[in-house]
Amino acid sequence: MADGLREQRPQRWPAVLVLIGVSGMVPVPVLEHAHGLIEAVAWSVRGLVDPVERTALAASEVAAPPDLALALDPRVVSLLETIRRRVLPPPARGWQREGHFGVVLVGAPPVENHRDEARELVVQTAAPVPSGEPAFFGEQLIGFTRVHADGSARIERITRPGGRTTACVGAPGEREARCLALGDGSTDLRVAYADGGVELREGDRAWAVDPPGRSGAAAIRVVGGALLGRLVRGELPTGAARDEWRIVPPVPVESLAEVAIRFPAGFAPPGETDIYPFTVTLAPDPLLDRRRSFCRIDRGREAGVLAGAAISNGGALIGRVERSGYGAALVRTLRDPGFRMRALLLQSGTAVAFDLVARGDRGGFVEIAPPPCPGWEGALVVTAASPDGTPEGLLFGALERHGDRCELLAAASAVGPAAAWRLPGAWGADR
Amino acid sequence: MSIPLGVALGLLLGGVELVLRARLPLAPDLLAVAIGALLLQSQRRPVGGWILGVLLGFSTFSADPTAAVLLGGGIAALLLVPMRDLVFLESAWTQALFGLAAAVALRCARELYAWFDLVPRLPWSEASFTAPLLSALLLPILVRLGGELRRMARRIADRIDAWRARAGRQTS
Repeated sequence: MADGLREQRPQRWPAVLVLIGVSGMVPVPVLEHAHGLIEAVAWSVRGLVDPVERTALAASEVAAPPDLALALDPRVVSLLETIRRRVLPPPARGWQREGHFGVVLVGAPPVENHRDEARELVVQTAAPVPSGEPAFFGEQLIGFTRVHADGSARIERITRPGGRTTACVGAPGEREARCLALGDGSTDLRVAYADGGVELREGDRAWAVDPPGRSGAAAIRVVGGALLGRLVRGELPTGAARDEWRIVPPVPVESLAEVAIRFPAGFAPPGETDIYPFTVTLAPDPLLDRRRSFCRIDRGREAGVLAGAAISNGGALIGRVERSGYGAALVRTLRDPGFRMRALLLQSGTAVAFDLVARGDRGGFVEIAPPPCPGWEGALVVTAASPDGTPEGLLFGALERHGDRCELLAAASAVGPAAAWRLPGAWGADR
Repeated sequence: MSIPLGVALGLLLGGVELVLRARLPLAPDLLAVAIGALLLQSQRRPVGGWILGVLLGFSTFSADPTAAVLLGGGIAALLLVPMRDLVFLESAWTQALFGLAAAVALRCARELYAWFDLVPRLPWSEASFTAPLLSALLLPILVRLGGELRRMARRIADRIDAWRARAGRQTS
């Protein structure tokens, strides 16, 4: 009788399965977390019961040399430092006050906010950015930070329409005229209300002056002395009775990929997040589809290795953890089609940030989508810092052009020992 | 209890397919075979838990998200469960159709995820066509084989019972 009733009852479980499957496509954090948990549990169960994987890991462990270079490649670190030296303002200027400067990546606003392009730059970092802090490129003042309600940070350019900067123009110590440098949405600034009686010449220097503080308060050096640009004569209608002076910045803001921001005490600059490497053992691809490129490591959640953690070998990136269970984690390598990661292109003394998207292995090379900047041939590509567990400066490889294709000569090989990068957490650094 | 057993079955099938793919140029989609075989069972047997477990276990051998595999299984079940009332399940053609439909449903779910850029688009290979066809071929063979094995086991059990009864009579 019970069997008969069960037969007549409508079967709802297929619809439940479809609902669970569809919920995996919905970008809601709660659902994403739930699906991640299901994958982690299933992956852990497989690690516990699968004798083939345990044998593969044990074989790799035997083959692993005892010592392993966990650190970043010193040549890449030195190259990044050389590039950053141009971006960071000189400490002797005193603009860092009690904080310190950190370099952040910047980009143009999204296409749908095209009208904001002349007003602001988007700060591309996941680290918290302080509001109202000056942004510099070397000694050049770019603007001030502003944090939106949604947490995204922008740099309001001093050249934006309505921007007013107290400034001084002339030759420092000889001819100095106080003025206001006004932004009008163009790439340069207009000089207004300049002191009379001081002769201005083309090529004169323009620098920022700190506005006067309250009487009795200590003078704080915020942007005083920061370079705004050089004076050029502006165009006026024929017969105009006065001169029009404009300040042209030495480096066009549109071309900048990185700027330096002052981080007050308590704010950690991006790239200085504490991420610790430790040794893991790589085993070969444990998946069914031969078109994909994955490998497996012998540490998982119990060691603090979570999804997103970078896996490297001697300073070169192998891949990123995709799934992490108990005692094992699945690593998606750089050679897997569709692999995507934030990267820095190092070329001729500058760093350009872009999303590296792999299209697949082409026999030694990895074909990637070309970076959105000219002159990428021969450039080095390294990782950009990520709060998920990727340090700055892990080497992807060098770019080469093969016909219309952009190919990456990958530096790392996905066999043997490796380093997993993990954030400090409940597991601590003692393990 | 059916879900943990299903997970174990899924892990076993994944391991077997991994070995088959490493050794042979062609291999069937064993997940589709398992789903088809479970859906061919009598409606009196609860197979939902088994199928969920098999999908979870097998998904650990796939680079795609577990939800994509679950969606594929769900689509297959959504199509084939109502069909059980309409077709003759003992027919080899029906069984082959169940295997093929399950394999295609799993592939469709992956394509749906790729359409939303949640998994990478992969080029079609020989295995994309041969695996569903091999699943369709394998399922009727396995069902027949399973039926024969069940019949043989029943016959052996009957003989054992008869032997015990005879032994009991002799001792008394």
